[in-house]
Amino acid sequence: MFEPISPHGKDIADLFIFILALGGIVFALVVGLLTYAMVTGRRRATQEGLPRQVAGNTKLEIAWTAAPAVLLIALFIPTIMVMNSSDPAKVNKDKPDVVIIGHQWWWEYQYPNGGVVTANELHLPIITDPKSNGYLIHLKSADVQHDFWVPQLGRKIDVYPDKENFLYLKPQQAGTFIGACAEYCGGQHAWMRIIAIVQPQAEFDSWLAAQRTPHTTSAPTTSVGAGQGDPKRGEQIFLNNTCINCHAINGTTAQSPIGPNLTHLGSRATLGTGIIENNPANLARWILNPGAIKPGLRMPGYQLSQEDLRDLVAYLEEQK
Amino acid sequence: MSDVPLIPEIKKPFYRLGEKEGLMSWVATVDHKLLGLMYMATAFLFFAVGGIEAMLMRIQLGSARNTFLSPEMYNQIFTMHGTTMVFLVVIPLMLGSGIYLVPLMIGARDMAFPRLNALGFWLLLFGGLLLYYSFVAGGAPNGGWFAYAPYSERAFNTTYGIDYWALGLFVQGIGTTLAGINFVVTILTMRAPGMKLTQVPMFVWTTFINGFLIIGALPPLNAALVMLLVDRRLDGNFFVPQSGGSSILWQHYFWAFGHPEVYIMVLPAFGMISEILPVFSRKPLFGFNAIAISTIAIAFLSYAVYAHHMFSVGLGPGFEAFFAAATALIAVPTGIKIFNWIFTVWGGKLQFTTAMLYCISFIFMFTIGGISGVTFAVVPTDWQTTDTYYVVAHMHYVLFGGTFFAVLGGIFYWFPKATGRMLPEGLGKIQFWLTFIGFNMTFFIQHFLGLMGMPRRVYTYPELTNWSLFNLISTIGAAILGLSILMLIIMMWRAIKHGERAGDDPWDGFTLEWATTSPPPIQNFDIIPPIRSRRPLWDWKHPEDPDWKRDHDGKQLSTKRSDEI
Ligand code: HEC
Ligand code: HEM
Ligand SMILES: [Cu+2]
Ligand SMILES: [Cu+2]
Repeated sequence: MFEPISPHGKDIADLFIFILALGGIVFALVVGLLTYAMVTGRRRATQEGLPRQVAGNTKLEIAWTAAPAVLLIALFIPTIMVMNSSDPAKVNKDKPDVVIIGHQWWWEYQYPNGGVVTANELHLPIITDPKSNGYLIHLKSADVQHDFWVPQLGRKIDVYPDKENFLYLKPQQAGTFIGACAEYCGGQHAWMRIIAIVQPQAEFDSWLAAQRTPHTTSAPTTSVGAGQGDPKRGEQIFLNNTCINCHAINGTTAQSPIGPNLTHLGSRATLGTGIIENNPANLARWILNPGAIKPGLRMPGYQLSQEDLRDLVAYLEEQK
Repeated sequence: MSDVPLIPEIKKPFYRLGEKEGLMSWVATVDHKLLGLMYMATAFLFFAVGGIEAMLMRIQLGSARNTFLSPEMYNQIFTMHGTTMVFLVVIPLMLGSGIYLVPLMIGARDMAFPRLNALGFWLLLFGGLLLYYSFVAGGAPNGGWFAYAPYSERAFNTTYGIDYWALGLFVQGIGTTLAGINFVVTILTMRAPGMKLTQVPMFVWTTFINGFLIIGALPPLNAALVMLLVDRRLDGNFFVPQSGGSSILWQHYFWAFGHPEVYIMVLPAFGMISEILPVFSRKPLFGFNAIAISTIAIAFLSYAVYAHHMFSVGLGPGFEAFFAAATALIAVPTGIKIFNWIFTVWGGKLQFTTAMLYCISFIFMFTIGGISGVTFAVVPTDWQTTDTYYVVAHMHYVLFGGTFFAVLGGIFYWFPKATGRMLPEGLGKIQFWLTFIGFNMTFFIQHFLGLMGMPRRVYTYPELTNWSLFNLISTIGAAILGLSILMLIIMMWRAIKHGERAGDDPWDGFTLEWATTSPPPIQNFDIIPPIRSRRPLWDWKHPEDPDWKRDHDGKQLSTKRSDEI
């Protein structure tokens, strides 16, 4: 939160530091007064007689009623200013750049303008145009309450099945930024993490173009050697198993939106919103028994033979 | 002293604490002292359970990707910890101390409705047991202490946990409401002859205001709990968005209760601080009227700020600005209190007893909690910090560093009255420092974890820079804290049996409870000293310089004292 990469995040971080400074002064005052009172009071304890029975002082009362009130007005004005600047009023709500859908416990990312549906890795372009508010994000939930929060990008916002929320994101620095679901949503709330990848516009455009291409399955180039899977067979295994009840792979008959879209699974760095690295060995483990990796998740395990598994993994990892 | 009112002698002998009259004397009692102690004992029992749950969570969080607890288990445990601590520990502590002390402080024989008082206690106990029965009935609740819909609805939550949660809190909530009513009526009608409503001790006053808060705040919760049960078991649709209900509606109901609840959990603690600081400073409470009025202000405002728990919902800038302003306003009466306490200590002759140490550190801890609280009133910073470990740190600073420190101070202060024996002061100070260090080590670092991006209610976290280290420090702090609580329980256990005899008035107190024996007899008082000011015992002990001969502000002193500042 203190290394913001967007003007929205920066405004909030600055405001936080301002509050902290004011709070620090108040705290120092309390500590100073109380410490002085304690030191002198302890010395006085050894003296004869009773202390003066002072029971109040109207002037002091007025002072410490008025001073905080002034302080709070001093805080309220920047509060309203930063509310507007870090979360600007939304325009064109019917034309969002990204639609984010929270699921128990993964994120669906739709790019309506690019015709792309993907999952678990949010790609954003760097936006430098000072006049732009940033990318308009539309947030919804497919099931329970969630919350979208990438501290370095700015505010968090809840995600509900019965409330449409909108947010502007305006990243200005390339890199991978970590966030998380911040509203408790059940068993695997802890592993509903967010991975936001910010790229220069050109890079982002080519990523979007690549994501748009359907899955093309190559025949094995040479005779299948040991350890190397056959994607063509893998495709059949995928389509003949119940995977298609939940997953979609563009260019095939698998079109279910219940689980993450797997068309370009090979392009993602992790599985299960960051719980393990995405590599063939881990993917095989995932398909055999995902519950051992992410207990309680909404996907069954599959007892596939070594060969079937290898081919299926090859098929899924093939498309970058 | 011709105007001493005599309370008629009571013939029936009464068991004192420690005498053996069998279990029935406790089960059947309607005596406020026994009930008050039973409240406290119940609270401590549940505190031990909630504390063990907290330790289990801290062990699980001690390192990244720990597998000590499964996610389902962790989620049940954090829910039970939060629910237990709020509803079965802090509320009973606040009610129990009031039930024990209020009649003694106002010179009454008992509460206004003794049988209602007993009913309230048993509802609390059985509500708590009902809640815990869920563990054997197929799974504890797992929705967090505010059980947001729709996750708390049956479509997403099929065990009976949430049902037990709703039922248990409903039963407990009725008990709490009864106690609230009882406080208001008792304080209005049962004061000793001569004691004006403006002359009650501050603890009585805060409990009085708390009674109104309870009466106003619990009904929305109980209504919402019933609606949730209707949803879950009778296929209602109040909070089920998938069939036309509203998930946000639950939040409005819950926080309409939930924020006043925050003050229900702290007002009596304010009162305790306001009793203990003056006695160990040998001065009257500074700015009594200001503290009393600011308590009323807090109570009113607390109904108007609840939606600051909902700033991340996205309810729109107008709505949020209103609640931000109201929330910021609450800082004013709170600030008034802090400064009045400081000036109570200021210029006093301080005795650093364990009770005093707890009360002074309360001021420090509560100030930290208050300052982090301001970052939740300021909407944009709330957008970053809410639902993270920063808020976990904040709430423990106000609940533990605040309320619970005050209660610990209160225990050291009133234990001699209730049992007739002292808690050991030397060990007490060691216990205080263990608590102080353990508490700050556990919770201060959580501010940073939250700002670094760690959400709350997570059973584990990935290996990110420093996350494991900071969490480990917090866990070690928790172990120290656990040790200090264990030490306290052993100290109390031993002191009940072998503690040094206290006498009636070991601290040279100012208020009426110190005018009777320790422990007090069934009728509480044989004689009540005349009440002409807020410190009847001071007046009694200092006939040459009674409060009522001084100017009301206390500014005009009739006599010069030997140690003019
Ligand atoms: C009942 C529905 C369901 C079925 C059937 C199912 N999955 Fe899944 N799958 C899910 C869900 C839900 C997730 C997201 C889990 C999470 O991260 O919480 C998921 C996640 C995955 C992921 C990780 C995606 C990512 O980006 O992290 C892969 C790979 C995957 N499934 C492959 C398969 C394969 C292969 C099959 C068939 C052999 C299959 N799934 C069958 C529901 C299903
Ligand atoms: C008076 C004492 C305490 C009170 C009133 C209290 C209250 C609470 C509350 C209300 C919650 C929120 C639960 C929820 O989100 O549903 C909570 C969470 C928690 N508490 Fe406590 N607590 C107390 C003591 C402790 C202690 C001593 C520890 C550490 C040893 C502790 C550790 C935790 C932890 C780890 C969480 C989980 C945070 C999360 O995952 O969001 N608590 N507590
Ligand atoms: Cu979540
Ligand atoms: Cu609140």
